[in-house]
Amino acid sequence: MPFNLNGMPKINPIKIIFFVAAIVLLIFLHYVKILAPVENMLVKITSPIFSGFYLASSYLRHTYDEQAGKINLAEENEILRDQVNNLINENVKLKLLEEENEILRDQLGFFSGHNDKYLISDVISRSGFDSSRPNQTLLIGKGERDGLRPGLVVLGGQGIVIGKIISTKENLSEICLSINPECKLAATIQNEDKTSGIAQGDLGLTIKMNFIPQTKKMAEGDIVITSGLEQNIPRGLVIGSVSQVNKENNELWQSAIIEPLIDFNDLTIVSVLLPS
Amino acid sequence: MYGKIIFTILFTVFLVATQLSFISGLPAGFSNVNLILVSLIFISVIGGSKFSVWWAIGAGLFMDILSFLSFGTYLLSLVAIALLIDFSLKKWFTNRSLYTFLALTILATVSYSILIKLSSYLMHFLSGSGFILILNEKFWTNELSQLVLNLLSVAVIFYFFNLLSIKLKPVFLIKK
Repeated sequence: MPFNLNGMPKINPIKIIFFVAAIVLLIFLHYVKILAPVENMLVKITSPIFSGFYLASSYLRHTYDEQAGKINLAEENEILRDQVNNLINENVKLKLLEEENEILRDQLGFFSGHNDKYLISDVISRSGFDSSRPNQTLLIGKGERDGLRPGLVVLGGQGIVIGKIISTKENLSEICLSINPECKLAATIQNEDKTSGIAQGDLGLTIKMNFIPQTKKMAEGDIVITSGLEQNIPRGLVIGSVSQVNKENNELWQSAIIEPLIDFNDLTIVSVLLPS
Repeated sequence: MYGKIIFTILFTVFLVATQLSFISGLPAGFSNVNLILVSLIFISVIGGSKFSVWWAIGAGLFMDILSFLSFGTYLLSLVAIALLIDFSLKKWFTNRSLYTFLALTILATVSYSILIKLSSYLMHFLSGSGFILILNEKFWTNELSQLVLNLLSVAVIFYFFNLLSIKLKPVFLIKK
């Protein structure tokens, strides 16, 4: 191995220039859209692989959850343990199929009563390559080519809001879930006062609605819906229900914690509401 | 030659798909494993600097196509880490023991995390959209779990590789 007099490894400048040129060229070709056909073809070809891998991963997650639950149950019901463990695999497979069926039925059922246009898509990843914020974003295998664009609302089963599209590519879209602090939705609490505000994700766990005047009345259990003040998001889509009201007499504003009505971990298929 | 290139491309697609769709959906913290980084460390040690940089360019390019960060973020980060590993292997680590792999994993994971977060922050800053980086306990636990899981993965692959190949086993010259 060649070293110079300082004990540092010798660097071949031609090699470095060659690599730098290759990288700069690739980035340049991307921004001038010359690489676009290749990129789109690559995403299109590999999308089914991603969906398959995500389903396999969901299956594992379900098995894990089932096992964790069953182990606790087994401690209480030792006699039934062996029998239950033998049936777990079969149950999980059937449940996955049933859940997928239910999701599709829910979504079809919800949309059959509405005139809205929608697009159903498979989820291909949770949080993409960024594992530091798990459960805060989703990737779906549909994009600009299918008419999607940032700002469109995304729904889970039974038409419950799960978030918004924040970025799109030709065949890919990124969804920020409503529990993501970067996701903001114009919302209204369904009560006498029809309190309106901005529902924003809180620490990736719940949704928070801030800056509500002290005079407005609200209670735990009140349903929170979209207010219709945002472009392309109609009024009346369910976001969640109020689980906690934070009201201090010496404060100018009060706030509410909103619990989503859907488990974001179970999302494998979602619908995007298209502008009418 | 062409066979090797096609195999490398398919292997890279498989790894990226596994990282993006399979690992990201795993439960109980397993989603923190960074298979791409772990692979890069092994490729750098076994395949040499030239091959590792080319692989980093290919994998980074594919990741950038699938990512919503600025194009080039993963490409530049992976190439930078490949060069850093190469430099470390030439300058500091003379043998190919498990300790070398573990030290390289720490170096690569920390550098990768800093590079990706910095570029992500820069992208949000330049685009004017709000970027919220919360340096709370959850954030640090997550970073630590990523490091620990990467170290465990490297250790497991190292021992598995040693079972199949003698490439990483120490060689002793015996004077007769």
